[in-house]
Amino acid sequence: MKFFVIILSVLFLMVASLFIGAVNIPPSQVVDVLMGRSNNDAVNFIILGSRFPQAVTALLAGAALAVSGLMMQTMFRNPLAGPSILGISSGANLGVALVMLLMGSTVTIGSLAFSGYVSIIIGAFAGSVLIMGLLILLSSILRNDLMLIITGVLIGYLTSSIITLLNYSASAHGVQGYIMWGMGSFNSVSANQLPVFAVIVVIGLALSLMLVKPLNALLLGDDYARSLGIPIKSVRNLLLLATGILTAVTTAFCGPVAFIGLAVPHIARMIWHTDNHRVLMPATMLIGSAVALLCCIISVLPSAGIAPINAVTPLIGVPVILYVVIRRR
Amino acid sequence: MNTSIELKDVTTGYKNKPVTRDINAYLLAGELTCLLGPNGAGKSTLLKTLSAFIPPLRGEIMIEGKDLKQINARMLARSIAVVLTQRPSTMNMTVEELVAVGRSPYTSFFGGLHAADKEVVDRSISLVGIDDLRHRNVNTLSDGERQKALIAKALAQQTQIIFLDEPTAFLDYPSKVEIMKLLYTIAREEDKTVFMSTHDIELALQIADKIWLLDKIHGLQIGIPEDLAYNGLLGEYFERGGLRFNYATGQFEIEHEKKGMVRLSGEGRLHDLVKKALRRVGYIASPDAEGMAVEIINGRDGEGAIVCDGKSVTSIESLVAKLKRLENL
Repeated sequence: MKFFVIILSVLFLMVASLFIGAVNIPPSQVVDVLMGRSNNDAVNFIILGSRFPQAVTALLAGAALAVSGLMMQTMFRNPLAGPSILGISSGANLGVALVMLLMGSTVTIGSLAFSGYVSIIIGAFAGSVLIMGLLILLSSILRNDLMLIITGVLIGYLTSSIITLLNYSASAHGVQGYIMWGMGSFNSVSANQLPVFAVIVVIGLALSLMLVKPLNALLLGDDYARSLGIPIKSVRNLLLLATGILTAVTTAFCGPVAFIGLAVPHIARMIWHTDNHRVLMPATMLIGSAVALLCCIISVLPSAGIAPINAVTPLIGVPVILYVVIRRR
Repeated sequence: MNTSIELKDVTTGYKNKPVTRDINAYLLAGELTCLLGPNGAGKSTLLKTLSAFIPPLRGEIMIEGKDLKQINARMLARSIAVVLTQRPSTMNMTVEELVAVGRSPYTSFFGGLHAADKEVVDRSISLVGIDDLRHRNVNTLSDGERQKALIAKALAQQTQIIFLDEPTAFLDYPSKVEIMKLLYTIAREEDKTVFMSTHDIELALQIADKIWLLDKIHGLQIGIPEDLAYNGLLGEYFERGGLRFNYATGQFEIEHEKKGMVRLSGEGRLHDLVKKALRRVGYIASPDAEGMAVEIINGRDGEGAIVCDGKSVTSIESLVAKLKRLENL
C-alpha cells in the first residue's frame, strides 16, 4: 500500500515536472507535445529535449544518491553518514576539478565531447572511491562515529582547499564552468548523454539491490555478519564499488548534490519503520526519486529563473536530519 | 555422546602474543559447558578462536571431524552460531526479521525465505518462548528479551554448535537464571553443543554439565562442577580476599570478619536462617560453642520462636540488633 502510494507520487511528480518549468508553457501545449501533435520546434525542444531529460535525470540521480546514503549508513553503522557529509562527494568534486581545471576543459559537462565527460566520470569515480577507501581504512581505527564524521568534514575542507588552489592555475572559463557545475543541477544531462548516465546508474542500483542480504546481516555488526557466513571483505569492496559508482556518476553529471543521500533513507525509515533492506532499499530508491523530482520542481518556481538544486535540497534535508539528531538523544 | 569440537594443542592469541597455550579439550553434543575465569583470562580470545574470528597461533581445531581451517565461511555458518556480548547497534527491525537473518547461510542470493525457512524461524521463536514478541521492534525489548531473540537467531541457523560470549551479562538475576535454564534445555532437547562464557559462577556450578576454568596462572582445567569443587580447583581459581569456596555446599561464600561465637540450639528453617544471619554479622553459631545462648523452639503449628538468654525475641532482626548492642558495651 505504502509502495503503491509512493510509486504513484513518483509518476505524478514525473509528469508534473514536464508541465512546470522556467519557461511558461500552457498545459494544453505540453499535452500536444507529448501526443506528438505539436509543430512548435522551440516548445518541442523545451519539453522533450530539456524537461524530459531533466526529469529522468532527477529520477535516477535521486535514487542513486539516496541508495548510496543508505548503504553508507549501514556500512558505517552511523545514521549521519551520507555521500556529502562523509566527504565522498568532495572526493568526486576534487576528481572533477582536477579534470576540468587542469585538463583545460573550458565548459561544463553538458556540452563536452564524449571523451571529455568520460574523463570527468572517471575523475569523479577515482576521487569518491579514494575517499571511501580512506574512510573504510580509518573506520577500523576510529571506531567512534563522531570522529568519522569529523574526518569526513575535514576531508571536505582539504579537498576544497586543493580545489581553490587549483582555481588559481586554471583558465577563467574553466573556473566558471567548475563553479556552475558545483551549484548542482539535474538539467545538465543532455538527451544524447542520457542513455550513458542511465545505464551507469542502473548498473549501480542493480549492484546495490544484490547487496540486500549482506546489508541486513551487517545490521547486527561485523562479527555477527561473519558468523552468518557473509564474506565481510568482499561485501565491503562491493559496497565501496556500488556507492563509488552511484556517487561518482551523479556528481560528475549533476554536481555535488547535498542532503538527498543523507536524508532520504531516514524518510524511508520513518514511513516503513524498519531497517530491513529488503523493504528499505526499494523504498529509499523511490523516495529518493520523488524528493529529487520535487526539488527539481521547486527549483524552477522562482520567477527570475532556475535556482541551483543545492539551494533547495537543504529545505528538505535539514529538518529531517535535525529530527534524527534530536530523536537520537 | 558425540564429540562436536576437539582442540589439539591449540594456542590462542594474537600476533606474537599467545594468550592461552597448548589447549587439549573437547565439547560434547547435548551438553551445556560454561567457560569461567576472571577478566583478562583469555575467555573471549578462546571463544573468538573457536568461532574462527581469529586463527589459532598453533594447533588444530576439529569441528564435527573437519579441520576448522578447511571449512568455508558459508559451511561454517551452518555448523557454528554465535551470540556475542556486545549489544548490536540500534536495530530497527522486528524480532521475526532478526531471527530470519539467522537463515542467511541457507537462503539464496537475495535472502528470500521459503516455506521451510519460515517454519524454522517459527520453531526457533517458539523454542525460546517469545512468540508474543515476534512483531515487536528489537529496539523496544528488554535486555533479557533481546538476548532470547538473539538465541532464537542462533537456533534459526540450525547449527550443531552454539557459542555464547557472556550471554547473561547486563541481565537481572531472574533473567540470568531463565537464560541459563533455556540454554540447558536447548542443549538437552535439541542435542546441541552449547558453550558459553560467563561470570555467574554460582549459576554455572548449579546448571552446567561441564566447567572450563581458565586463568593466566593455571591455564585451562576442565571437569564437572563437583569434581572441580572436590579437588580444590574452584577455590584455586577464584578464592581471594573475602571470597571463600565452601567445599561442603559447593558454593562461594563471602568471608566475614569474625567477631565471636553464639551457642545456637534447635533445628528447622528458622534455625538455618538465624545461623545465616549470625554468620553475616560475624558470629559463628554452633550447638556447643561458648557465648550467648540462642535457642530455637519449634511450636506444633510449625511457627518457630527465638529465645535469647532466656528472653523471647520477636524477629531475627531484633536478635541481630541485640548482638550489636552487646558489641558496643
